[in-house]
Amino acid sequence: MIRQSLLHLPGIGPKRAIALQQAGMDDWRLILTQPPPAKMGAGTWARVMTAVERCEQALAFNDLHFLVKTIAKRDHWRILAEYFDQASYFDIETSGLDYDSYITTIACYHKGNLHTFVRGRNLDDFLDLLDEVKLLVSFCGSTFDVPRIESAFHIPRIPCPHIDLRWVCYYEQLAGGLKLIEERMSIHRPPDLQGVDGHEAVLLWHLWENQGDRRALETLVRYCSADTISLKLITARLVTGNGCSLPEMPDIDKELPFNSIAMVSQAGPEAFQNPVMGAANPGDAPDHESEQSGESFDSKAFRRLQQSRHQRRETYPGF
Amino acid sequence: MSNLPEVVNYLENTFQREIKALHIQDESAGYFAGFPAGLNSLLKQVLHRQGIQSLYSHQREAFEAISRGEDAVVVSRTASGKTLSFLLPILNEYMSATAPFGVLLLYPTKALSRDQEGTLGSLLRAAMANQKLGTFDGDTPREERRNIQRTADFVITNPDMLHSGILPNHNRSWKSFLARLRYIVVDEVHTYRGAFGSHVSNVFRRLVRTCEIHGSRPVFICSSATVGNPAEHVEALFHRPFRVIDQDGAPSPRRDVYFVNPPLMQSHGLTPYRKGPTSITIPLIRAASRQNVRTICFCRARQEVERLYRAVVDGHPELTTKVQPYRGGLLPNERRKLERAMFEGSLNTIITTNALELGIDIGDLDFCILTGHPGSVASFWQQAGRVGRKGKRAVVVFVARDTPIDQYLVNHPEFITSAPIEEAWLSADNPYIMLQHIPCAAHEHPLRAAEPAFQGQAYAMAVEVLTGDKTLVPYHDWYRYALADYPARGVNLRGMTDYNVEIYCDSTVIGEIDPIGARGSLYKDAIYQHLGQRYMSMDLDLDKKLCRVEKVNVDYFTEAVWENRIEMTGIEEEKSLRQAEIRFGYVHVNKQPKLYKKIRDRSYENIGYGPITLPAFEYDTTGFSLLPPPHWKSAVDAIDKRYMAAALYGMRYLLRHSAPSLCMADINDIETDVALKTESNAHQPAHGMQDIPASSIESWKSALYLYDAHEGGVGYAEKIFDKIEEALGLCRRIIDECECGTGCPSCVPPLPPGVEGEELEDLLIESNAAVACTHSLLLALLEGRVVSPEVRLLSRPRQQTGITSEVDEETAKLSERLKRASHILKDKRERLH
Repeated sequence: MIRQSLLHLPGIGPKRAIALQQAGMDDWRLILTQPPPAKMGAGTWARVMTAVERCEQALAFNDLHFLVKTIAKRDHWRILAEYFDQASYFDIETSGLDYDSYITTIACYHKGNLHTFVRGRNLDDFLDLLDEVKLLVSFCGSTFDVPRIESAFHIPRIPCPHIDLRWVCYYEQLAGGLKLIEERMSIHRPPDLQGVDGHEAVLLWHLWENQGDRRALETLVRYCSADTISLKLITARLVTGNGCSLPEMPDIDKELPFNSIAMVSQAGPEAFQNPVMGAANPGDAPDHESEQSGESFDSKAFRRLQQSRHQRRETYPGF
Repeated sequence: MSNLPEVVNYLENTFQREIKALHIQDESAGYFAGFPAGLNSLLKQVLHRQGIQSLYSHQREAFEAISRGEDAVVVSRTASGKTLSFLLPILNEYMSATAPFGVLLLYPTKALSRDQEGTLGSLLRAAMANQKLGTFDGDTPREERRNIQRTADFVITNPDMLHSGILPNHNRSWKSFLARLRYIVVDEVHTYRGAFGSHVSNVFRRLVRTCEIHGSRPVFICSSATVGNPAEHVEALFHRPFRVIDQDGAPSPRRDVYFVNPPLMQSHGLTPYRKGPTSITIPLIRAASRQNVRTICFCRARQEVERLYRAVVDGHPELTTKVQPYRGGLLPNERRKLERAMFEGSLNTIITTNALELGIDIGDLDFCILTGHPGSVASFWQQAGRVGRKGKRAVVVFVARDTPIDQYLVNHPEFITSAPIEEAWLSADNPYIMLQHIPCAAHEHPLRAAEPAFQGQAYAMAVEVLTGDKTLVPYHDWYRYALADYPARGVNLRGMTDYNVEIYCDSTVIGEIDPIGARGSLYKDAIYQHLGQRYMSMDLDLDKKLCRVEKVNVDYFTEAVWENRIEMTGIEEEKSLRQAEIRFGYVHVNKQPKLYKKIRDRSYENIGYGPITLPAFEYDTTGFSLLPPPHWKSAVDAIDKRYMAAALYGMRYLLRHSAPSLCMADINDIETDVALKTESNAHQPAHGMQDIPASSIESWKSALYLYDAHEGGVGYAEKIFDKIEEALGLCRRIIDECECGTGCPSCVPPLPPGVEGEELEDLLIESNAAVACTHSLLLALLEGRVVSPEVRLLSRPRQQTGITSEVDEETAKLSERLKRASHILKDKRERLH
């Protein structure tokens, strides 16, 4: 699948890509072995071959940095298809969108385990986890989560390649925010997280910080985790929707709506690395039945989220 | 039409007896060189249009060096075309460059950078780059900031803004500018010395590092007024070798420098007193202003400017339109208004502090009055250099005050005219300063174990200290900043405090002042003077950073009396000078404004006092203590127990006033103090003394202290400690050469400030004990003339440290200093948050 990424090759635009497809030349290996198709000069073809050789090399060495950087955004889903088992999904929550707001929670779904990090407890440990990550996937991460991580930990750049699912979705005609996309894909969150959005996450954090409300923190961490699980579900659907069969679909049943307990039980209670949750008392872990919630998305919450994302765009670059 | 000769006549006739010397600086025609061959024809045209037909030799030399891409420093006087010497080669390259490059122009103050923006604009217009020029400082509006970040090729700013505004955002708004930065122009580089210079040097380290991250290697071009060691100084500042261009080719006018000493008067008391410098300056300013001679008068302090202005116009209201005071602490628009008025000629006389010492353009001047020595020879010439225009004579009058160093100068004009100019120095590796900048650097970009910008072992050890207290944490091969705050915000390049107190009257802000200054000049009931108007401080709120003042009309001003308590908390180095123990180490200072005195105008009578109820200001610094030689002590104690105290207070006064001249410091950079301990309580260790080994407590008795008036200690006291014999020699010469014989403020006043205790006061007032005892102590210190064998038994054997190698000692010292500094900074951070 990844070998059919053509748009990043020099001299190849949408038209030529289609032409190559029609000529049955839409694979790197074919490009390397076949003569140039009609209407392609020898010079152009030579440049294309050089680029393809470099990509093949990167593929052989699993050089994801290079592949993510090189392959066109429109083809990023192909990287996800190729490296689905290596992707780690993450999301952060912050204390607000002001310039002096800080990261409150990080959740990362990594190698079948859910890792959560909470400010004041283990936030810095996220950097250690990040060192193990081969491919990082986020939603809106290129403008929000990743720069936030970099500035919060004062590192110039994260050590792993990163794909922003927002743009992958965008090229699949899916736009409007994570929650809306979930809805369109009929992914449902557990009922107690249905109304929670980015704005509420801020309030939850303040409840925890100012009043020591453990349940608020629990909800916040679960909300943040739910986002990352949702990312994996969306990724899986995008990839399969494009006709790729995933090598294995261990924890996701396409037929079932979103069900976070399934994920958590898959990972085991110790997956919750947050000392507040699970680890201290596994019985304390959020207790929600795998309920098929047909409820539609809270549109108010959705609009609020939209607004907050909009504000984010306005305030962030300037600070 | 200027009537300078008339003013000179007036000066020579009226103050015939007071003029002690006249030094004539001959006119020089200057050295010229043609335009360089590679000069762009468009630029040539502009120069022709401005009436410039050739370059000064130093401009040509600079052009060639800069065109070769060398780091260069141009040393020349004010008004010698410094701006052109660096701008011409840069513009020449800019106009032929294929892609526009960035030029960063740094000026030490905001006032100067605003002034220079106008000067640069005209040349840049020629290069069609004036749209690409922007001033980025604290006053720049937000919208304009973004515009400058995006489009400007020539950015004018100051080190403070570089430190707190540009470098922390290098990865965002400044990325493209820093990536194409080719020249960094640093004007008035001699101002970056001492504590400020050490800070700025670290800011430059950070700048070089960020440029490297963005792939640029800018060339540094500096201009400097004359200092004794330009090459060494810029090298210390920028950590790289420079090409020094110090052949000043600009013509200079003839300058007559008069050294004037106000007369000694016999008063009702026992001792004669010297009239204040105002007895000369007031009539001179009035005469000059009436003759419409363009005059500048430099004073030492802001409130002194206001007092002199009041005195000059007192009874001469017609002068208020011609004479104005100009000083720091005025609001920017007031300052600009005065600059413009002076430039246009509606004012002809300006009374100022060293705020006008740097090259702010206020037009040509002819007559300069210096009230008192500005603190250094370099500064003296910088101020004197403000006057003079082509082909005309300029006159400088130095009026001595009643202080040791002024009196020494007026009697030794050669100290000014032919002695070597002081060396500017700084210490970028000062632990206290470096420990503030490394977190900033880490915040900007993670640090490597070895950073080319931070050379030397101090860096590695500082990183270790910061890792130890979790400010930095290792991450991959780096150290990243681990805290969530914004470290640059807590670091102030210019002193201990990072905010200003606003002074307001009826809801209008009329000025601002730093909080330490506020403690000493805006306590309740203090008189604050602003553009000739007197205000009384009604309410000083240090927490809200506000001070409310009300207009009053009184004929007195106020002066705070401070009480300092100091403790030596640790000893780093000891030496003995003819058996006198001198110890350098850490000092804790507690500065408390105690009461204020009301002093009547003109007569300077003390007409009352009141209490000040403000919290003390405490800080840690470095300094040294000097214990008189025991044999001398016992010899004088045998005569009178009070003699030693008299000598210490005398020395305190003398050293405070003379020692700054040895290290290019200002008198406010160091403090001196005397601690008198009677034998009985000498055995009780004072609070905070735990670092001193028990054996030394017994000998820790009456001592003289000299320490840095900067938190953390920045090295002035250490410099004086190293040159102690030279400092004492200067003190001795001042006493030997003073004409008073009985003690006066010019050498040692009969009652030196700070003396407490009636018995001692009685002795001092009624005799010349202060000067005599000080002299005796100096002789003992310099020549060891009082030698008594039995005293030797009391002296403590020197500690032997001969076995340990030199390097280890250095390392231990450094590590100790870093620990101290880190401790102080942690306290400070706790205070701030």
